[in-house]
Formats: sequence, structure tokens, C-alpha cells
Amino acid sequence: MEHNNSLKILVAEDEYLILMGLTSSLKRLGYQIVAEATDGQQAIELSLEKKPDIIIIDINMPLIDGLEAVKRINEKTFIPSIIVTGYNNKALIQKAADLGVFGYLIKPVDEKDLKPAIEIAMAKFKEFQRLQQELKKTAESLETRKYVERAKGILMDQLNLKEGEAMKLLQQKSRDSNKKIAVIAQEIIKASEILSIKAKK
Amino acid sequence: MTNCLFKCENLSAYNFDGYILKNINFMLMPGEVHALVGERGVGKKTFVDVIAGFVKNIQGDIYYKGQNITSQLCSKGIEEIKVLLQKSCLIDNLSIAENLFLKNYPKKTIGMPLIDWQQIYLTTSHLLKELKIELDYRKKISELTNEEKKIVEIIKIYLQDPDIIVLHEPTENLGVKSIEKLYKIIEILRNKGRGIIYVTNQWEEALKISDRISILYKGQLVGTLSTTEAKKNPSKLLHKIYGWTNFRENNKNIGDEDAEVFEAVFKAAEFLSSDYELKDVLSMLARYATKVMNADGCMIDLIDEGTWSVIDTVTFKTKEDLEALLKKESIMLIVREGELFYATENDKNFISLFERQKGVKTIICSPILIRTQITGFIQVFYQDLYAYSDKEAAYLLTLAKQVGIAIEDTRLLGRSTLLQESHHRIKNNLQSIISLISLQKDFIQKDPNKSIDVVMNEIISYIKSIAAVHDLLSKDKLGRSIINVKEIISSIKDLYAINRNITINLEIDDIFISYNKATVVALIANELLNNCIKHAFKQCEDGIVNITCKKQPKHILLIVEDNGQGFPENFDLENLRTLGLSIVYATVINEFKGQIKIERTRGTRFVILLPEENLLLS
Repeated sequence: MEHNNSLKILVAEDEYLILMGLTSSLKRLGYQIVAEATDGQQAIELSLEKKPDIIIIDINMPLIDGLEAVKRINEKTFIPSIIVTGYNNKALIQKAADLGVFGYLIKPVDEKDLKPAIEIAMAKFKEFQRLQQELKKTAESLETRKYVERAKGILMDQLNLKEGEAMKLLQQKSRDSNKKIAVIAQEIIKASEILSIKAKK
Repeated sequence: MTNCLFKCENLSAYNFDGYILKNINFMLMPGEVHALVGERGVGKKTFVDVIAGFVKNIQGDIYYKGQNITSQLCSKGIEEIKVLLQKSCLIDNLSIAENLFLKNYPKKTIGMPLIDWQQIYLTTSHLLKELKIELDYRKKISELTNEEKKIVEIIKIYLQDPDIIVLHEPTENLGVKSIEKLYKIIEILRNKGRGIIYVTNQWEEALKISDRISILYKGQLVGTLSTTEAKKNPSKLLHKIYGWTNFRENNKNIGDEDAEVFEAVFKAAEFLSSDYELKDVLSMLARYATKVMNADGCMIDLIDEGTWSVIDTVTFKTKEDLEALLKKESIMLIVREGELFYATENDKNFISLFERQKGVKTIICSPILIRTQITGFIQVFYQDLYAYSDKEAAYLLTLAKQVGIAIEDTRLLGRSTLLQESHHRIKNNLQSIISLISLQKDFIQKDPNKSIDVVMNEIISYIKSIAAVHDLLSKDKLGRSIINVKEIISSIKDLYAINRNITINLEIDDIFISYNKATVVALIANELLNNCIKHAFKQCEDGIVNITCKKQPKHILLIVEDNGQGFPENFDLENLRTLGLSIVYATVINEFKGQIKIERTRGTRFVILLPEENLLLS
């Protein structure tokens, strides 16, 4: 079965025979293998270069181990990853969880294990991205609110206005100059700073 | 200059052979013991003979208290300068007392000048008592031992109270107590403001008694050191004595050296109890060893007791292009000797010790033992000639023991984690089998005519190879997880033991590799051997298969050849139709980053080149 927008996968495993097996299984599931890595260093480089949709990686690899590689990749761009390893070890599983890994499979694995793991991982990742977006928006509006409050304070103080009136003034200015209210607020704050007028808290 | 008691200016002495002494500039101050040291044959005796006035052919000037006495030395002799020669100048038939006063008999005049024997005996016995020397002054010289004779000579000179005394090998023939007495006499003289020239080849003596040391080398004065300076850095002194150039001016005092050694030993203990990997610990120890031993590099080898081959090496070098790889036989020899091994370029067999050598002139080695078993080998090397100090020797031996502990520690740890590793290993092996089956599915799709039987048998064959490796691991008495390639290939060969008229010849070096690489090597060997047997000898002929695996400087070379029918003309390695060969190709290229080619000789020949860094212990 060939999917059209098939997922791009990077597989990292130091034992080549196992890598070949994984690749074969993944291809049969309809995924695209964009890169193969046999050590942690290569995994990092190829991930950042080829930008796969998901990374399937072993822990036990030369140069840089799998968990460290995932950490470093995620520092630059967040790519969802699934660990496939022989180590069934609480500490490692916890470490992987802390790093934001989306799945942890114990060898031996075949298609029947990989398929659900990948699907769940991708679903989780989508949710993750959505939450990130929301977070970003929330943070932005919080920033705006802060500026607006400060600007209001300055106007109330300077022009002897009530709160509602100050707000209306801001909104009007925003409309008139076609700038965002946050921008106007920042300009007012800056102006007052230049003129060294203290705003009432 | 004005205070100078004795001075030689550009003194040279020659005979028909040539110059024995060349341009000697030597000074002696009052109240000073100035030693002159050097090896045998450098001209010390000649120097003494010159001062004693025995040498006529001299050039240059000699001054006593500012006065030029050069010509006077040979003709009249100088009263104020007395020389203790190596040879005895006593008269055997006379008594001690008579010998002591040979030239200065105290006289009394009773009518005719007579010798005042009473005076002589009195003075002598006083002297002997003062110096606590128990000798009967009436004894004849011929009755004395060599030691006693020497003492008499010394007393004789002392009695004459010269301004300058030259001693040539004064401790020869003397026992410990006598040497003490000699040094006491020298002290007395020094305190009186006399000057002493102490000529010897025993530099250790010079360090004990002198204020300054001058070094004679090949007839020339090559340096003068204060004794304090020489004591702190004896190798500097030795360098001048033996004429070694390129001396490294280490500005270290002995005090500093001690501190350094202690620090290195403490650090090593720290590493040993840390969580660091063995290889990292060894790296750090190698680095410390290089520093403390003032070396240019250090190598620590791990050795397999059974085969005496080097399993692994950790090297630290201060310069990239230095090399000092010892031959296996040399290592065995050194280990048998048991202790510290020291060799320099000056040794005749130096070059023959090495497999590969570049730029190294001194090596110091020690075996690393765990109980009585050889487990490793540590070697420090230098690009110059180097003499180590006692402390350095002790340090290296201690370090060897510490490395032994580190290795044993790792093994013990290894045995306990081996079980955990085994689980991991088994899971990886099972995954490999799934891979093989999964890949086999792909191949069947491409070639549906292949019979199920054949396919299943192939899989069984792979599983057997993996099992063979596992079996070797379980048999390792020391609980290590490293495997000898020789044994892997041997086990694979046994899988095909009952095969018709096919002879399999093995020529394999002892090469140690880690477990996960071992599995792949087993698979490769199995596949190639299988290939030969299946395809090359289809026609039931008598077949020969030769498998060679040799360790080369940076590679491992594996050759599998048969004398059967070769591959067809249009055989293409990259688009292989059998799973096995495609796995061989893929792993050689991708896992080992090596090369593989097929040659058509009398039959077929697979040549595989694997870079050693990807195969040996990681």
C-alpha cells in the first residue's frame, strides 16, 4: 500500500542488519525512508538536514547515544521520535520521557509493533503542535495586555481620564493610525519614558 | 678572582695520541670542596697528574693564589698543593709513623742532628686519637690492609696541612666507617679555609661532599653546577656526564616532582573509584603518566593471556608522528623479565624490539599483572635519550598496579552487568533474526521461484551463525564480552564440517572484536563459505576453500577464495539476487565503511577490507 503523502522517516541503528530489517518493514508499511544513520552524530546531522517527520532511533549507538542525539536535535528543531531498544530499564525510560520522546519500544519489533507506535506518535505530535500554537497566542495576548494596562495608566494620569475613557482613546488611536493597540501602547510608554513622567501604578 | 686559591686557564695536556685535556678552565676557592666528575677515560687521572707535576706536555696556565706556577709544577713541585693519588706512595718497610714524617722528620740536636722519634710518636698517636683511628703507629706498611694504607696516606697529607688537596678516587678501598672519617677530615680542612679538589667517577659521592661539581667529558670541562642544583635535578648532571645532548630543561625541583607524583597517584585513585569507562580511565592515566615521567607519550595495552595478542590499546602522545609499537615477542620477553624495562637507542638491539618505530629514543615499560596473570602492558616513550629517577621508576610501577586494578575492577563489574548485557544482546539477536526474515520476504517477492525449503534453510543457517557467536561468549572464562575472530571463523567452519570432499583451510590472526560486531562477522563468514560450497562446487568436485584474515596497519583483510566454478560474467555485486550476499555487501559498506570486491581467479575470490576503527573495540 502506497500512501501519497507518506511520512518521511529517519532510522538510526548501529547494527546494520537490524537497520535493514527495520527499513524493510517500514517501507512495507508505506512509509518513506529519507535517511539511515549508524551513529548518534550522523543521526543528528541527517535529521537537521533532511528534516524527517519522525525519527526511529536506538539508544545504544557509538559516538553519541540515542537519547543524547534526540536531545540535541530537539534543541534545534522539534522532531517526534520513537526509541527502539533492547534496554528495558526504568531509568532510561524515564529519561526518554523527560526528553519528550513519543514512544519506547523494546526489541524485537516488527511491523505490527511499529505501525501503531508511529500512528500514535504522530497524533500526539499534532496535539503537541496545537498546544504550542495556543501557548504562543496566549503569551502574546498577555504581553499586549501588559502594555495596554501601562499605557492606560499613563493616559489616566496625564490627561486626567477615567479608565474607560483612557481605553477608548487607545482604541481610537489604534484605528486612526492603523496600528495594533499593543504598538500604540508601547509608543505611549516610550514617549512617557522620554519625558520622564512617572505613570501611576 | 683575587680570592681564588687555584686556577687553571685554558689548560691542555697532550701526548703522541693527541689531546687528553682541552682548554680546561677550572677554579678553586678557599674553604670549598670542588668535585670533578666524569666517566672512565675522560681525562681525570691526567688532570690529577698535571697538578702532581707528572705531565710535561701542557699548554695554558695554572695559578696558585694568583701566582703562575705552571712551569714550577713540573720542575720543583709546590709544597702547598698535595695530591692523593690512586696508587700508594708509602714505603712498605717503614712504619706508619716513619712514613708520615718521611720528609719532615722533627729534629733534635744533640751534638749532631738526630731524628726526634719521641716527637714523631707523640704527634702520630695524638693525631690518630684525634681522628679516632685505631692503628698502631709502629706497624709496618706491609702489614696493613689496603684500606688501612689508604687511611695512612690521607693522614699523611692532612699532617702536611697544604692549602690545596687533590683527592683522586679517595674512597677506593675504603669501607663505610673509613669513608666517614675521610669526610670528617675534609670537613675540618674546609673549615680551616683549605681548598679540596675531589676527583672521582662516582657522582653520587660528589653530591654528598662537594660544594660545586665540574664535569669532564672527553677531555673537556662541559659544565659546572652547584651541588644544591645538581641534587635537585640529578638527571641534568647525568646528562652532562654521559654526554647526552637535547637535555630538556625542566624547571622542576625534586620537591615539585614529589608533589606531582602524589597528585598523579591521587588522581588515579579517584578515577578508579569513579564511574568512568575503562577506556577513559586508561586515557587519563596515560596522560598523567606522560606528564609525571616527563615523557613524550604513553601507551597502555590490554593483553589476552591466552594468545599474547594485544586486545586494545590506549595511546597518549604529545606529538602525532611518534611511534613505538613493540613486537609481540618483545612484549613477551619484557613480561618474563618481570620488572621495569628500560631501553635506549644506545642499546644494540633497540630497533629490533619494535614492529614500528619513529622518532623514539628511549622507552620505559612495565607489565601489568593481576595476581600473576599478565593482563596488560604500559610503555612510556621519549624522543630524546632519558635517564629516569628512582621516584619515576617507583611511580611507573605503582601506576602499572593501578591500571591492573582498574582492569580487574572493570572485569568484575563486567561480569555482574554481563547478565544485563546478555538480555540486551539476546534481544538484539532476536531482532536480527526478525530482520533476516523480513528481508527474506522482500527477496521472495522479487524471486517467487525460490523454494520455501531453500529459504527456510538459509534462515536456519543464519540463526546457527548467531548462536555460534553466543556460544563463544558463554565459554569465555574471564567473563569478557569480546571475541576472537579466529574462533568465530573456526566455529562457522565447523557448521560445514560434514561436507563431502571440501577442504577448508584457515589462516586467521588473533583479532579481538566486540560482541555486536562479532555477530555480523559470523554472518559474513557464514554467507561467503555457504556461497562457495553451494555454488562453486556444484559439480561434486574436490574443492578447496581458503579463508584468510590478517591484521594490517589500519585494516583487517578478509579473503575467502575457492577453486571451483566462478561467478557468471555479468555478476553484479550491487544488485544481488541472494539475500545473504546483499547483506554482506550492505554491512561491509554501511556498518564497517569498508570495501568489498569479487575477483575471478581459479574460482572465485572475495576480498573484504575493513577499517580497523570500525571493527575493533569501540
